[in-house]
Amino acid sequence: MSKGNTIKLALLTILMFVATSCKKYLTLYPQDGVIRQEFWQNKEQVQSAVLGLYASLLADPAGKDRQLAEYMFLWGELRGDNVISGANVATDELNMLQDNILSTNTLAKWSAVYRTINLCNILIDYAPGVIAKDNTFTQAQLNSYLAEALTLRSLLYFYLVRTFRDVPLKLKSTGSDTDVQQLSKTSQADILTQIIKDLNTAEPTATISYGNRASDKGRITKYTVDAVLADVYLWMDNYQDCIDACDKVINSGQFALVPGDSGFFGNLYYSGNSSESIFEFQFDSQILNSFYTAFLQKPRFLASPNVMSSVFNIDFLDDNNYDRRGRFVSVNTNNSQIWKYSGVTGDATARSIDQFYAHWIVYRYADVLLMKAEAMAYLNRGTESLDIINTIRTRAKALPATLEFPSPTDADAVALYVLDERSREFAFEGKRWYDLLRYAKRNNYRNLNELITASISNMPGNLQQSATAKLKDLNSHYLPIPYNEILNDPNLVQNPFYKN
Amino acid sequence: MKYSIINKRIGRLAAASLMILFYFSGCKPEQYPITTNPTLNIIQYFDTNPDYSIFDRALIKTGYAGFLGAYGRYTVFAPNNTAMTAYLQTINKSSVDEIDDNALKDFVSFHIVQDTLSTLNFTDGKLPTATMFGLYITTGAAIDGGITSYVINKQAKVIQPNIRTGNGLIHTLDHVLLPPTQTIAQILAANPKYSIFSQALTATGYYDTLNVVPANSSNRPFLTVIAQTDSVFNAAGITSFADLKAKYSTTGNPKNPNDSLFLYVAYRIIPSLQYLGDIVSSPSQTTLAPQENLPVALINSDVILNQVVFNGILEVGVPLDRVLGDVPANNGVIQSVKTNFKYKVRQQAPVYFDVTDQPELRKATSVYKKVGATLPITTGLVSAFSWEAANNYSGPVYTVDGAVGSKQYFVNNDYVLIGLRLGFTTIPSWFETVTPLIVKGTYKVWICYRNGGSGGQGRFTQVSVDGQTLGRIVDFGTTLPSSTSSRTVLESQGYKRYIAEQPAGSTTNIAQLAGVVTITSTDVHRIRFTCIKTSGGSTNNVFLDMIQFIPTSMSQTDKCMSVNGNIVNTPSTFP
Repeated sequence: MSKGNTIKLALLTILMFVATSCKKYLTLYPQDGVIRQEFWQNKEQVQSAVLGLYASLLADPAGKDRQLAEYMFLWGELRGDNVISGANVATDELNMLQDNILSTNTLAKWSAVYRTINLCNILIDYAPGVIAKDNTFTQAQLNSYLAEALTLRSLLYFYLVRTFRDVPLKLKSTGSDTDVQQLSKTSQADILTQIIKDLNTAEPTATISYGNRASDKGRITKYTVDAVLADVYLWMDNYQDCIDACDKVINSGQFALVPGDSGFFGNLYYSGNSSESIFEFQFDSQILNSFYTAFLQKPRFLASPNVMSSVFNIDFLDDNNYDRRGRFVSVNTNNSQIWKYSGVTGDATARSIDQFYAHWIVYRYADVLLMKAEAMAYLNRGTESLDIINTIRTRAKALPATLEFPSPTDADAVALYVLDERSREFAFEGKRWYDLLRYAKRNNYRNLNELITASISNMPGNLQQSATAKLKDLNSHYLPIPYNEILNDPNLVQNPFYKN
Repeated sequence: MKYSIINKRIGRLAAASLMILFYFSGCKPEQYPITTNPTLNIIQYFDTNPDYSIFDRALIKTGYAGFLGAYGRYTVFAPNNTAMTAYLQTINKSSVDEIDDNALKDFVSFHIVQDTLSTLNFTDGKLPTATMFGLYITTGAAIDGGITSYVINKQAKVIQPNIRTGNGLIHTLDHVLLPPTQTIAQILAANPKYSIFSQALTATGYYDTLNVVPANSSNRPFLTVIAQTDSVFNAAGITSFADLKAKYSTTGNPKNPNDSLFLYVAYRIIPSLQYLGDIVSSPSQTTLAPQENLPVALINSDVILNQVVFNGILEVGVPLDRVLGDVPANNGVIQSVKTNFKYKVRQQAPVYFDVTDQPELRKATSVYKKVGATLPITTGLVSAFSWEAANNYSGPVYTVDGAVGSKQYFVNNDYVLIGLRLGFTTIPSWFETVTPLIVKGTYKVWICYRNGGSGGQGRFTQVSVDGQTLGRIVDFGTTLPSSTSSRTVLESQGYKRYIAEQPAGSTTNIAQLAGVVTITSTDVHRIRFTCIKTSGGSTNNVFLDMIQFIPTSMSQTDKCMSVNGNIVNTPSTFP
């Protein structure tokens, strides 16, 4: 055989291999993962998918986005009155503190929320099919898992509608490029209707207990569903339904206020999963929260000076007479740092960097009690409202200086007392702006001034007038649709406030 | 053989050449972008958007189109065609071509700022950069029919903000902007609301001051005048200029610089351009009244002038009127006040400045005045304090002594521990603090401290007030030279006791004279401690308790401080 023929033969052989391996070459399966067709086979896989939902709440797997808890803090606190900028604040954060928000502001970003919503949708779409494949998987178990996904999705949509008002409502999963839809916005009212529907579907089938404390506080239980329902009903000014939902939690006997003694901080905030807690994002030493740099190391945010002097107040004569929620709980009074996520035992001792796994508390018993008090105020049950407020105040040894004496028949005045008490009780827990907005918008924005006064209280003097005028535009209470989403989806229409 | 190979090669080459030739000739010329960046510049944006055609025409006619099409940083407030048509109607022209070139240049240049200013830069006051016309324009926000928009110069609404182009930003307006054509004096004279105030301006001769346009005469600053309406005068019982003159004119001649009415007006003129947004951003404003300043406070979003705590008494200030204020003139701006106020004559009084009495420290409730507490003051924690940046220096330390009077004697039992050394990278060489309000006059400055032992700390410290160096070098290492010398002798040596409770035999807490200072304006001032020589030793800290400014006309030793912060008579037990 000549040299030329040898080469030809070799080439032919290679061609043969290439040609025959063509099929396999084109259908490539991932080598380090499982694809959908191979997943959703048995109940263990469903369970791991459910647990994955909670893991996805903690942090972006790619590590490129802010944590959801951080968004919840930023959205819930920056436009309120308790937080001021620290030396290392970022421009977009400062702009939000000063109500100077453009559609390009990076805090107006919802991907962290929709990521988990999509995971919920995947579970809702595919878990029912597992029943046919795994005989040991019961309908009750499936319903319980679905209840978790439905509730989590509802909770996240509830955050979205309170933050952005009208957002795309996606209830089907996105698994491949062909599933990507260019949705338009659904109105807040329609999304709230969907949320109520989903929560009422979930409530009867949700689990009461998973058998251990950590899961009961870190996963959705029946009581979480009730707490979310109460919050949504209160937002919709549906007072009786709110009270009914609160009563389910209260009458369960599963929850109690953490006593306001020396263990208060440690139990409620440092260790987490307290008897008071209903639902928490459970950070741990594997996934830390992002508050070390935000609040302690080079603080981007500090407590406003008003938090100690007027929200909690100070007894200058008696050092032992102080609101248990203030000094070294909400605020490090040495340096005005936000302390709930940095403290250890309720003194100046701070967590070390590797201990920054304070849980993000979404709902706790005190929240349910105060939601009930707020609803009662509008149903001529003001006296009972005041009793609940007093329960909360007694636990915390609130100072007489922060007492208010509204007439029990004056619904707005009682609700304002609840609002002020919530500011003390949930300082820096990401609730303040939503509380203010809920109070302000009630009865056709009758109490808008309360929101404006609070919102501009920490702004520089040369911005307050502009900010006041902006806040009178009701559209400004909601963040702009993220700039990139508008570019990607021509069906999305920007909130009119951000157009001019 | 060789020949044929060459022939073959030539043949192939020719074939290839032909192919290439046909290939290229058969191809249509490809369209390549010839610019490096497709973003439009400002003028191109106007050219391609017909809604700006009239303003675009004005830009072209004035020649401004040239630079707006080139590299640079501009912000253009662009009236759309509706706004321009309305404007042309008001001046009875049918097109911009009919407008005189210079007038059109003035008009157009008032809409252009040589800076990129997005709505994020908008405040309640003026923009940081003047327009190309030379005057500033103001920004704000207003709500109309439930919709809030930015408002420029109180004349136009922004319809579309922040249009980004290659060389700057465009904000679309629904009305044109017109520069003010009158001076402050003319505007006030023309407004019947200000008749009494205008007459006062004329009578005192300030009408002429307020009638000069800076553009026409160099070195004249823009001015701000705090005017007062007749109704405010009426509320204060002044119904006419005659009443005003009778009430305030002490010499009968308001043009006399010593006349109270002259000062009354001078006290209301600020020699710089101060919109409300600017006024609230600074703690005090200088005025034309000699050395008298207007302290500013922002209380519940009201801008209050002259509200100060002086000698422990709160003097209630006067609020500015936000609606009537911020009226632009071509030589400044007019503000309006809601209640009558006059030139405030404050008598010189001693200032006992407890350095630790700072609002931020008062709020640090877990340490403030808590026995034995310490708190490192990080940068920015106490806004009044500043010091030289030093590596790893954690800041001065707020410290509270042990049980009251147990061993040391401090006012309010607390002090600041300040690192002060020269030539150390880890210790600052200077420390500065803002004082309370000091009335203009001459004072002796006493530095009250506890001596820190015989170490090297602060042995050679120079004290300066507003950059004015005081005569004596303060030695923070020294004790009272004698426990038995009389106070007169000690004072002549530059020392005194300042704590009433300190036993006569104790010499650790003392006040040392830093020198005499002439305070030229009634205002808050800055006092700085600078280490000018290092003298060995291992400790670096100075125990600073109090700074006293005592008028030279007063006795320097009659009064003492009590440890609880009260001013008391010097005990007779002291020698």
